[in-house]
Amino acid sequence: MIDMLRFDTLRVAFTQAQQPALDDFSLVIPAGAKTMIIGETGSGKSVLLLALLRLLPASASVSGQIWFEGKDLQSIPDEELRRLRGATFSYTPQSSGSSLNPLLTVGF
Amino acid sequence: MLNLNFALRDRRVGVAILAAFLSVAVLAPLLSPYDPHAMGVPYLSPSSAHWLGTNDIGQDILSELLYGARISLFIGITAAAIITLVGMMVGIVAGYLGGKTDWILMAICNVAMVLPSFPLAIVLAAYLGGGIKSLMISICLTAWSGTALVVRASVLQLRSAGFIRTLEAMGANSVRIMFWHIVPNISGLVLVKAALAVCSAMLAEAGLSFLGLGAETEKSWGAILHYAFFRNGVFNGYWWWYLPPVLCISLCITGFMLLGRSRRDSASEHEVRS
Repeated sequence: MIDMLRFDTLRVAFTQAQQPALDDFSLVIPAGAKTMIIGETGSGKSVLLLALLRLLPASASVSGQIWFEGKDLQSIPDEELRRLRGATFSYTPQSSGSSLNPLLTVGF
Repeated sequence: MLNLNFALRDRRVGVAILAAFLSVAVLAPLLSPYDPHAMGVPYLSPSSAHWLGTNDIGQDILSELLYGARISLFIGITAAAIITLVGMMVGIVAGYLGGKTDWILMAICNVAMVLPSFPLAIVLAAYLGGGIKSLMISICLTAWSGTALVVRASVLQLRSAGFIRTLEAMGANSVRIMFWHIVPNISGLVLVKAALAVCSAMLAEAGLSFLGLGAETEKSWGAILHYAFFRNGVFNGYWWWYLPPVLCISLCITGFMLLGRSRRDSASEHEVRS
């Protein structure tokens, strides 16, 4: 099995926080595998996904690598990453109320 | 709820006023009793033949007023459309893209804000010469900055909303997010600013035309005032010459104000409910 997604000693720290949100996080997700990440509120699950999508706010500093099919997601151009978002990986925030454009109709 | 009723009443009154002025502007050739450029007996006071009398070269003032609605409304609405469009674009791009783009656009915006707009418009109109085009440029040059600032502020708020984050995570490109998703969500605010922009554009037009910097050959309310003042209509107490254009400008601006206010009230009501 080839590694599809690999986090390598990932560290995410916010300038305003004393402790990093993620520190020394490493994980390998092989192709075809289903992986569930469970943790209590504030343990960094969302931060992990936002780091993967490179959607963290400017106040976050990210170090370490995130490899997707052999490419370092931290260094690929914006346009290439944008095409990967939605097509290969995505993120849905928890609060469904704010996750939809309030002016658009859902469904048909 | 009380607020909403006021908003509804404001909107009805505003729409009624503006509908009346717009129909007058469109139907001016049918409604005018005389050709506004045709000359006759000067300084006639109101009579059954000339409801609002005549000016210094014998032109019928009622006809001037009816035709004047065309120019004044055209300049007011077109200038407001340009102001709103430019302000909205600058505000959205600066607010959404942030970073250096935001810094540069806001620097330009700040410069436009600190320039005293009316004196600048006077200088520009004088420099560019008369005509509708130069009038439009002088009115629009700095007026967009207010809209840009307000739009930017609300885009900054929207940018962190869940659905915008979701769209980004789904790989939507910036242009699509800005113009397909953000624009409809700030449309209430933009319409309020647009209605107020019509007011300030019409006032600026009236002011510039009054000073003789407008389109001299065109009949506009400001131009009627210009001649009423500089050909001694005001000093001689010919109220039928100077009062009607003042009332028309005031009433028309009131119409746009009411419409803008009703939009603002119903927009804030919507926010409270959601």
